[in-house]
Amino acid sequence: MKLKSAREIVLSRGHLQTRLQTLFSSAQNFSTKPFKFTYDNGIDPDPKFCGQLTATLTLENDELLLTTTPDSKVFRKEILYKNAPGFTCSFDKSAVYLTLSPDLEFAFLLPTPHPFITYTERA
Amino acid sequence: MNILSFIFALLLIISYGFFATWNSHLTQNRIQRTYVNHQIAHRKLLNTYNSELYGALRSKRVESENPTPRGVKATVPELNAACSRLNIYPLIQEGKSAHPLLYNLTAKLFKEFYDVEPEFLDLLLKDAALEPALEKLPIKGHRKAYYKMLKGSKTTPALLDYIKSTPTKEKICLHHAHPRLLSLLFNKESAAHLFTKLHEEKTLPTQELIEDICKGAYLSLDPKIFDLLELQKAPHEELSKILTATEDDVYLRISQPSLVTTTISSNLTPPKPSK
Repeated sequence: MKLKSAREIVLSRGHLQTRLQTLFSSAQNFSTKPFKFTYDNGIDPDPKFCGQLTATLTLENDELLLTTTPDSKVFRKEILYKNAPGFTCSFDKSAVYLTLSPDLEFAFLLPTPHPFITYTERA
Repeated sequence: MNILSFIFALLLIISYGFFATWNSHLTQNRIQRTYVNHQIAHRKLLNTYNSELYGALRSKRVESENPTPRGVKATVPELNAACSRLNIYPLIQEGKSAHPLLYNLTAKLFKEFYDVEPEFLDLLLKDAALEPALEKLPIKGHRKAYYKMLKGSKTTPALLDYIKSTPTKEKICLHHAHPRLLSLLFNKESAAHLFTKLHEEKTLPTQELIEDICKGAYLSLDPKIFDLLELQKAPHEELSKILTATEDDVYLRISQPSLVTTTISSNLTPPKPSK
């Protein structure tokens, strides 16, 4: 039972990491409060949800939600993570940082030629 | 008699129960397998993406002076390049009567790649007149089939790798074309020969060279096809990069903006002008 719940936690974290990293690999136009960005959803069975979509990260009933919309008329809601007490999001030119709790932080790489780690040339 | 019917009813109930359990077990297994394959393909895709990011961090690459020596077989690209797609914009705007050759080539593409009749192309052109983004076309009654074409699979190519709709007069770049597209424009035999020539010979492809290759493959070309082809080996800017990953039956692809202004250049040098 303990193993099962540990597995569930690991899988849900893995899902969050994979899903958001896929989105951020084509993300642009970030804004905060609420955390919003646009991304390329590619091909979707619903023609309205093909191509560029706007995504918002919100917290509802302790669940981290991803809301995607092509035109603010139709929405899709997806639970990214359950039992999230809160979250903060920040970004810079090379990555997006998501903090769910002090001991649960994620970093997602952005498509940019800027280095994730800044190297300094030796004198 | 009563016992017999009782046993028969009992057997019926047991067999029904067994079938129901077996069926749900099979469905569950299938869902689980698909999910796991999906996750593995996602992981592969992210690994490719991370490699791309890492590659972009590296310093300027030193290009060798002779990248493709004579006699070395050219590698077939995984996908058709963006500069080598059939631009159906004129067809959408001016109709098939104004561009019969382009219409025939596009219809041939649909037939050969997806086994659909030209009526499907007519529906697509009708819808595309109202919606500029090809991936957003509703195509009533055929959306599911169209979705499969757009997505592509391990065996069938994604439609948008071969056609585009842009209000420009860009021609199909022969040098960066996938052999699949070449076989569509010409035929299988001449496509294989032409692909090798394009990537091995240090000469520019000319109309005469292409006609000779096609003659050798018993194909008579419509001279109007050269209005659609770009014979120059100019480098092209890549605005986005498509990454793909497969795992069993799962085929994933993502399009990411180019990390740096990359160009897919020709590895062949143009001939010096003769004196």
